[in-house]
Amino acid sequence: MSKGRIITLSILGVLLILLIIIIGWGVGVYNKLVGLDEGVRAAWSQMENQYQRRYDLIPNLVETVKGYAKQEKEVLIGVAEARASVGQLKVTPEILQDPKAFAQFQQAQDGLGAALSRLMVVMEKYPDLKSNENFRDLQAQLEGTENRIAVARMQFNEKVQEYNTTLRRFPASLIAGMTGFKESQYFQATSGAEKVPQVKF
Amino acid sequence: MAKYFRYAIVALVLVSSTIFADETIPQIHQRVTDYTNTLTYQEWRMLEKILKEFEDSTSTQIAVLMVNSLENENIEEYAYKVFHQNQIGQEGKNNGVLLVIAKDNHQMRIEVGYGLEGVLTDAVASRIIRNEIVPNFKEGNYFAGLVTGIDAIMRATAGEYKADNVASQQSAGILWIIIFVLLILAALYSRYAMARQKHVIGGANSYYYSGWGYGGGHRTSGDGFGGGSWSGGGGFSGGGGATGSW
Repeated sequence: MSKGRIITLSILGVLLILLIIIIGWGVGVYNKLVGLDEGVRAAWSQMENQYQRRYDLIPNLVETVKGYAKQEKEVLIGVAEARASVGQLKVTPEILQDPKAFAQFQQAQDGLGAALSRLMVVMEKYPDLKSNENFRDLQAQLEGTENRIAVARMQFNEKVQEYNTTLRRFPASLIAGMTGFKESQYFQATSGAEKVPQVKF
Repeated sequence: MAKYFRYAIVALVLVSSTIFADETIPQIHQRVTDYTNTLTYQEWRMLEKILKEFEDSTSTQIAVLMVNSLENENIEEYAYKVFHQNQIGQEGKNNGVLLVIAKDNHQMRIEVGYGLEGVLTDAVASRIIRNEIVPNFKEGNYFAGLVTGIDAIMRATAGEYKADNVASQQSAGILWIIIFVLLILAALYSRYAMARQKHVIGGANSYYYSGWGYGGGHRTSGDGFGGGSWSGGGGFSGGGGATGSW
């Protein structure tokens, strides 16, 4: 074997080793992104469950309230409308990458939260209703659900932050770009929405 | 390499969570922690014992935390943070319950671990607060409120509590008899242990610690009870439970 050939071979060898290291690193980054992405999705579906729970709770609540406070039409209609606009949302996992759809989702859900807390404030005027065990149970469920939503939202945002940070940081961003990972949307703190509505009696 | 990276992250998280742990959120070392000096030693010991036996037989962890003031934090957030930091409930089962009482704020919350949300629903938790604890607290009977409340929580986690007032009173009656007997026995055992008790019951970092060892993590007291360090088993909560005031 000539000297030249040995040099060429060893250069090739070094390049090959470098290539293997780079590929190995790329696979590592990719797998990490997959894991983080899964975390975001799990947190999202967890949160959706809580929103769904609130949505399902409303008919019962409105029925009970109606029996005592029919005259509060405006507030009740407000709740019904806000609920309807939540019901119209088409929620697919793609929403996480779609700023417009995501903003719409947040707006509708926050709107429903606000309408419900208005309803609860108005109910303060009805002592009969407030002493109704059934209503108090529903109220407790609503409060609990709002609190769960707040927790789930916070956890979702944490997961997204972790994912987005990894995604955008160089050089992992190269791998993310090549493999089609996109930044995820997260909840903006709107005035009053980040706090659990204070529904006290 | 990814493995080492993961280890490094875990280590970092552990270190940072120790360094940056919220200082206002107490790390609890007892099932019953009373920073308000409301419970007497005997009462505290009784509750500890009930909860310990319950935990031994069901693995469900119930913790009680009494604080004076919430320092402008809302009780939902506070309870969640305490629950989260202390990881009440067994890992995987998430069967923990935290009862937080903010005495000066006249507020309380039952924070329910994820795994118990099905039996200890928000509505049930709220009923326990409203119908079992609040009436007692309103009259200043904190110990009585805690006993009936804890009893109801225990039965709820076993699927027995349906907020039926009559049933709950009957069964609480039995509990009261047991407590009464235990109190007498305890008094006999540790007559001399009662003399000095001017310290935070269950508080591990108590400045008033007087060498008795019913502060968590310290040596056990003369009668062989108390002391011992308790800690949460790795459970988490999704924010379920109920809040009430008196």
